[in-house]
Amino acid sequence: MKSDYMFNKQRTAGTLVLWLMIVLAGTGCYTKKSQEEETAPEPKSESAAPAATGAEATEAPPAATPPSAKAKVDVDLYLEVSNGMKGFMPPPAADKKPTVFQSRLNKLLSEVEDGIYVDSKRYYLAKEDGQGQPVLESVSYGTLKNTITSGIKADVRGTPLPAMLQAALANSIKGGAVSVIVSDFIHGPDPNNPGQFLSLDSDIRSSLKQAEHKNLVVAVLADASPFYGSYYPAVKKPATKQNLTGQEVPFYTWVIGPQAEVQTVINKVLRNLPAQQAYFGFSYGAVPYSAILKAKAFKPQGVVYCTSRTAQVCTSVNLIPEKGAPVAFDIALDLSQLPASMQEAAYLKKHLQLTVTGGKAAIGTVVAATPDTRAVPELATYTHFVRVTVTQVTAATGTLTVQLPSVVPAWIPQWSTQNDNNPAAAPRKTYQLQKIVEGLQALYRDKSEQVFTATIKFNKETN
Amino acid sequence: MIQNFFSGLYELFLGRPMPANFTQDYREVIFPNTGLLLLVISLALVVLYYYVFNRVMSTGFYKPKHWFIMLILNAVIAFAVPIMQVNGNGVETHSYTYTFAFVNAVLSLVLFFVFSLLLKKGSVQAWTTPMRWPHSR
Repeated sequence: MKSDYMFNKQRTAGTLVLWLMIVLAGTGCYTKKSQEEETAPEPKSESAAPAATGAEATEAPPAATPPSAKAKVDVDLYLEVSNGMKGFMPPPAADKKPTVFQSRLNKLLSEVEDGIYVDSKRYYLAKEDGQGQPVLESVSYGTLKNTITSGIKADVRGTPLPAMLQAALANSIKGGAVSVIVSDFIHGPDPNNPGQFLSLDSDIRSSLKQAEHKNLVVAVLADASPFYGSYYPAVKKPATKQNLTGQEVPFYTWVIGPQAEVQTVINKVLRNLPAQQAYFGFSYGAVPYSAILKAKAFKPQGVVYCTSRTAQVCTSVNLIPEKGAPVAFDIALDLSQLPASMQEAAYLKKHLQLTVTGGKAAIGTVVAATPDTRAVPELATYTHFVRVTVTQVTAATGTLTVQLPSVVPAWIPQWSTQNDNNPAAAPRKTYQLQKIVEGLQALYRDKSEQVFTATIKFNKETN
Repeated sequence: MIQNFFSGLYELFLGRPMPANFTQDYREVIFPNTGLLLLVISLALVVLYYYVFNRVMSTGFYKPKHWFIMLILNAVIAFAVPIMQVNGNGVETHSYTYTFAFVNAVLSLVLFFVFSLLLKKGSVQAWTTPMRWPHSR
């Protein structure tokens, strides 16, 4: 009787309990565990982050400046005024277009004067005092603008290049400003001291020694502008001067200052940089990077996975290339702090190097970020993706280091000449530009030979 | 420990997780979760069958048919759990996922049977379900 009663009364209740348990087992337990998992990552990634930065700090050269650009900078703008510069600034006429030099300088000048990225600004005309010594004449915005648009009226001899650089740099260091020096950079040594021709590289180096001492960097931008009038070559034979009618002559903008401030000037003040750029003393020891293993856009191949499941930034992977199935995956880099010319995928493809310990690997494709990758949160902060293929692993652990060596840009030897006497026949060439650059490089000989390095550790997958 | 045990167990049948880039998700989360859930759910269903239905409540579910229904129910849950785990952890679905679900379902059959043998003696009505052996009250 009793069992019958129980049977009837509690049968439905029993079914209910059964379903309840199933539901609980299926969902309750499941959610609880996954919540634990969601909270778990945080301490792990936090502990991983300082370790990673610590490692980078030891690898990066001690002099590495933080790559973040400064918001506002002080700028000293120097324009060399000499007879040799007159041709860049022909007298205006209604039917004449401004030269490249004039339009570039006008834009630069108005950005320095009116832009929001420049705090205090000073303008100088760099000339010679008649005894071969450089003079920096402090002028107003209006005077400088007028000089650029209307040309140089007075008869001014050029100063020797190293002396002008030294004077400008000393002046800017005193004021704590970034020097922006615009000149044709044609070496005009003191006629009484022709030996300066031979020692151009070391003269440049000593004139800028303050830059090395104060940990400043130099950016050189080169452009060519039509030139009208008398051109005074450095090599005076056969002609001491040439009359040009619109042939292109190079002019240069040198930006000297602390790295962060120079970056602001280049990226925010100058903008629209010419294709010819060279950077000296810059270092980006710690660019952000990560192995990308779970993104749909960059699927890895073969057996490879991040050593840490929860790390936001993956710098250590486990991998094992198998027969017929090499490992391939992408390393994402944030190179947004690098000069624009170094951010080009073609440049990176050509110059990026991979050094491997404990295995064999090679660099595959190098692609820049696209709107598609920017839309994915874990890829959004990266600007480039480098595919690495590992074909063999010979040790239990090893490293894959992607690095960009600093190389002299290809345009420098092309724009350099031993004889600038006839620019009509060989346009866009500057006398001994290469030596000038060698002098600059000597300043930074102790700096890292790599623009940046990104090292991924790997463990050989065993189980 | 638990992680190593369950990844070892499943990888014995399944081989290395695929796609390989989600290896750590499988080893650290999905395998141990699934394994623990497999144990807990199988045990719970066995206890439910022998001790709730056939002792506390004395329902009429004591026939081998009913035991078999519970066995299949457990297998269905064991098939669903891995798929839910894989999707819930943002891991890409792969044919490996379904092989994994199948292996887990087979394991659930074994576990349900073993738990039944161990626990059925304590049941009032169903101690001979699915068979009398090894008890002889």
